[in-house]
Amino acid sequence: MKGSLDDLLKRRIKTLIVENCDLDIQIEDIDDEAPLFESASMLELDSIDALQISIAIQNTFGIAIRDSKQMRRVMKSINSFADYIQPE
Amino acid sequence: MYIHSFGRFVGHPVEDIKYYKQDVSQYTQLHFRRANRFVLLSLAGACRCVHGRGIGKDTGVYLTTENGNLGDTEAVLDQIFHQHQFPMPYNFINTMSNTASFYVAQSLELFGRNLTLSSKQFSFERGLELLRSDQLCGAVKEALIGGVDEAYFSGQQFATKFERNADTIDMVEGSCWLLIKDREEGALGRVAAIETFANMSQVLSWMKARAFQGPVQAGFGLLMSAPEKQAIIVALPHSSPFDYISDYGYYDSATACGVTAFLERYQGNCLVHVNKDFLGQFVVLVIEQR
Repeated sequence: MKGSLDDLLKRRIKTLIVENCDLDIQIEDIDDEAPLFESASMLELDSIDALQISIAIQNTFGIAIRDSKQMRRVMKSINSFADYIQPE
Repeated sequence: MYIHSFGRFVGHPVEDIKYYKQDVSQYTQLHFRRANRFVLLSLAGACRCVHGRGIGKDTGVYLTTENGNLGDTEAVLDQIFHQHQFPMPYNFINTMSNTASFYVAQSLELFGRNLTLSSKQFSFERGLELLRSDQLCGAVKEALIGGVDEAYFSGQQFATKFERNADTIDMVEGSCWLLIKDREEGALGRVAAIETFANMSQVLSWMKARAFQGPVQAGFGLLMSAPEKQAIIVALPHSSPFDYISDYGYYDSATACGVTAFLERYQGNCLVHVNKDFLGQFVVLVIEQR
């Protein structure tokens, strides 16, 4: 199953982001398609948060994000994140 | 150097970092999302020191500490060497020595000189010496100076460092700050002397040759022995011991705690604080309060 269709995985990713970035937000309030890093994003994440998340993903799922272009593509939204972690 | 206000945040460590965030939120609207225990501890003391008073934008920040960001440094070393992982960026950034003083300046909107200093057991005293030099040469007119340290992780860590039983000491964390200006008007007191000595006989000779204003409270650093304390009490006329470590507990820049506790309790008195390091050197700090 593609990650974007796996609600349990998406919930894990949201929890990982909220806990690792110390966000004062309920995971239910994070939209699966909403941008994570743009200025309009409700999460207000930045490049240091992106690094924090990428290392947390590596430690939790054993998946490394190797370069910044890939990081931008993967961390576009919760759905893109989930599809990267679980492509099929 | 005239002391215009002081602030103290001392207590046993609380595991949940939200406790510190809630405390600091009483004083500032800023949200310190990435801040760690040491940063929030620094803010808790500094914000109390200036709460309700206007301070100049060019006020300096001199953060003195023996250990700095102890918790995050331990976390980063654990991530690298035990877990064989990359360090988490938040932890890594917070190990940078100047992070806490940056946050203090940011929250109070200060643009003056910003320093973090460490000098083993004399960190707070050396910070005061540097501030005195900066004031004398006109580089700084007013500054916040604080002694901030986290508590020891364990009694064993304390016992290894000091070669004494940790059961006799209440181990706390602390963040104690003074607002110091070069103006006497409106001051609570002044830093009358900071002197360094190579041995105890030099300390006693200096004390005997000096006059102290008003009743004297004699405070001591943790490494001072009982005979050394007794010799100081005898050398100081009309003095009584001020055992702030028994009252508030011990953390590594506790001299700052002793000064703020003295300012709170002993109006019209003089504090003579004698600290000692592992090399057997002494620093005497004299505070006169109005």
